[in-house]
Amino acid sequence: MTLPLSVVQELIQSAQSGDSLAYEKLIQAYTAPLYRLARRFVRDDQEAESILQETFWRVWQNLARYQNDRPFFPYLVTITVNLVRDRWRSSAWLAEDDLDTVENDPVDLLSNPEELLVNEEQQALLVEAIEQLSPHYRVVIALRYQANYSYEKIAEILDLPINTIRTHLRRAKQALRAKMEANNGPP
Amino acid sequence: MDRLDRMLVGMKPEIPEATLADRLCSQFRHRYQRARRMYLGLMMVFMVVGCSLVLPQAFRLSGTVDLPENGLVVVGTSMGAFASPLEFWNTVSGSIYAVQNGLLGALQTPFWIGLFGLAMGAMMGMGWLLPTGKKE
Repeated sequence: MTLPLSVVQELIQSAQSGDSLAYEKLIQAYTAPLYRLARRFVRDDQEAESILQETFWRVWQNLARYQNDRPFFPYLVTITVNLVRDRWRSSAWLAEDDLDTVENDPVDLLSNPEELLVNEEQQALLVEAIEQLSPHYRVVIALRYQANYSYEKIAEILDLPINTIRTHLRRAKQALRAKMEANNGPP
Repeated sequence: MDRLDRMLVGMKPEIPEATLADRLCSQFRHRYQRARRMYLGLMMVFMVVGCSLVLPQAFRLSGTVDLPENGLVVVGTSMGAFASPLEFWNTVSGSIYAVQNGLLGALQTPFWIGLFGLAMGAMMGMGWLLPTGKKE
């Protein structure tokens, strides 16, 4: 369910005034896109659901401070990512020593749509390989390829330098290639 | 854009269960109602404890302040302000000082704790009644 911007802003305004039913409509509207993303961040459905539940509650608690002229979905994504990071706080998260110089070639993700078709088996292998990645690589991959965000946007959401994002993306892809080659031959 | 990029872009999104949104709404509703109940409960506790600490001492204060028997004395004293302003000012400031000392001396620590509790309860009540939005 995709709501027009004006409706979303109206619902947010009502929710900011304490209307919980308006907020429930926002939950209905954003559950599916947020779940698709959150499911890539974590390894199982229950955890994704738990993250979403916590995200919507945290957003509700901070809604009074939310500026209604900003896009709502990236705000939800930021909160979700922060929650996921909190859960993984014990593990090393996006260490700054990952910084190095990398290729500066943003890809056109929407070119040649017919080429996007890949077979089911390889998709299953890819999903499996992504789930084996370390958490921070999974998040970067999901934000880049699932949410289709630019490097700048990902850097903003994760509050990290853009070069770190590029580095993580490159390393995540290297790891994916290695895992897929090990499982099935080169992608 | 290499093959891996294309595979990642073409990856089928995870489809959530059809009931997930309803479930999340229901969880939110329960949590919201529980938070409301807790908030209301806490507000009541503050108000009740505040009142029970403040009121007994507040009632006792009426014995601390010596009120004139009628308003004529006050009016008469006020007229004296025109005749001798300096003497009037000394009388008034002395009276205020005496009342302040009397009140503060009569109020003990539980009163101030109660007053703080009442203030907290009142603030929470205001937050409850007023809309939370547009705080910027």
